Amino acid sequence: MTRPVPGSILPDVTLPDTGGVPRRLSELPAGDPIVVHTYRGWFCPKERTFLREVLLPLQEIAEVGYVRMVSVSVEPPEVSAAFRAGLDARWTFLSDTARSWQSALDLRETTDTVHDPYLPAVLVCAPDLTVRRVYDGYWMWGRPSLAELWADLRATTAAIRPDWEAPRA
Amino acid sequence: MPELGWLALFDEPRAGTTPVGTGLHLLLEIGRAKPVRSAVRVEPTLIGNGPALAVSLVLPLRDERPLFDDPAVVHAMRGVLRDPHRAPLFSTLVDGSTHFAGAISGQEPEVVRAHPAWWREDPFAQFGRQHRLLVPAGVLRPVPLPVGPGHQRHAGAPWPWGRFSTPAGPPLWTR
Repeated sequence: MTRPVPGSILPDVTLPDTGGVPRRLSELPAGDPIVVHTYRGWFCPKERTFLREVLLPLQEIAEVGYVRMVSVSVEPPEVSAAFRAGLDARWTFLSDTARSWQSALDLRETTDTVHDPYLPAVLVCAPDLTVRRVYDGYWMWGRPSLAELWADLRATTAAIRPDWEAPRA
Repeated sequence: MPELGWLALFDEPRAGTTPVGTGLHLLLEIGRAKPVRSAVRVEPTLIGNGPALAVSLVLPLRDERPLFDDPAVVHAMRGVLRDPHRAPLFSTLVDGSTHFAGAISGQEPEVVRAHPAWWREDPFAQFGRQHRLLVPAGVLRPVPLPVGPGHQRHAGAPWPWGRFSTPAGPPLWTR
C-alpha cells in the first residue's frame, strides 16, 4: 500500500461504472490526460461543493480540451448513477465497493468508520497513468482550484503532445 | 495505417450486405478504401461478432448534414455522455472532416420491446431520416464508450472514438 506521488504509476484495476459495466482503468485515458478523483460519497457536503464548484466547471472546459475525467467511490453503481445524474456529470463514475483499489492506493478515510470511504483526492495523470500531480483533499483547502487544474493539465498536455508548439507554415 | 470502418444502407441486396428488416440491407466493412460511394465511416471496433441488436440508424441527406460543431449536434453528444448506457453500441458517422454524417445506436431487442420510446429518444434522430433496424447476430459488437466529458473528435475519427497518435517510445517528458 503506497499513496500515489508524482512520478508513480497508478495500479491498474477493473471496476464497474454506473451501468455495472466493468471498466479497466488503463483503457480509460485513450491517449489523453486524465483527472482521477476519489470522493467520500454523496452524503458529504464537502464533496458536493467540490463537485459543483470545481469539477463541473472543469467538465465544461475538458469537453473541448481532450482531457478525460473519472470519479471513484465505494458506493454501489446504482447510488453513483443517481448522484452522477443529479450533478449532470458527463464523465465516468466507478464503484469500488470491495475497496480493493482503495487499499492498493492507501486512500482509506480512517476517521470515518461508518462509511469506510475513500480519502478525497485528485490525481492528474498522463495517459499511461503516470501521476503528474497529487492533491490531498482531507482538508477542503487541500483540494485543487480550477486554476490549479488548468495549470496541471497545461503541463501534462504539453508533455505528451509532440505538436504542443503550433506547427509553422 | 489504421483500418477504417465503413457503413452503407441499401434498399436491395448486394454483395456483402446483411438484411436488416423492412427491405433494407446493411453493409459493414473494414478496410482502407471506401467500398461504395454512399459509404460513411463508423468506428471499426464495433464491427464484429456480437449479439442481435435493435439499431437506430440516422442518415441525414448529404446536403442536409450539419457541422459536427453545430450546437445542436454538440447538445446531442452531451446527451450520449449523460446516459452512456442508453445504447451499448454507439458511434457517430463520418464523411469528410467537418460534417456530421449520421449516428448508429444499438440496444438489446428485448430492452427496446419493453421500452419502445427508445427509438424516438435517440438524441440524433432530429438530424435526418431514422431507420429502425433489427441487425442479426454476428454483425455488430457492443463496446463500452470511451469516457467523457469530451465532445471534440480526435483527428476526424467517428465520435466518441478515436485517439491522437502518440510517438513510439518512452513518454516525452522522460526523454
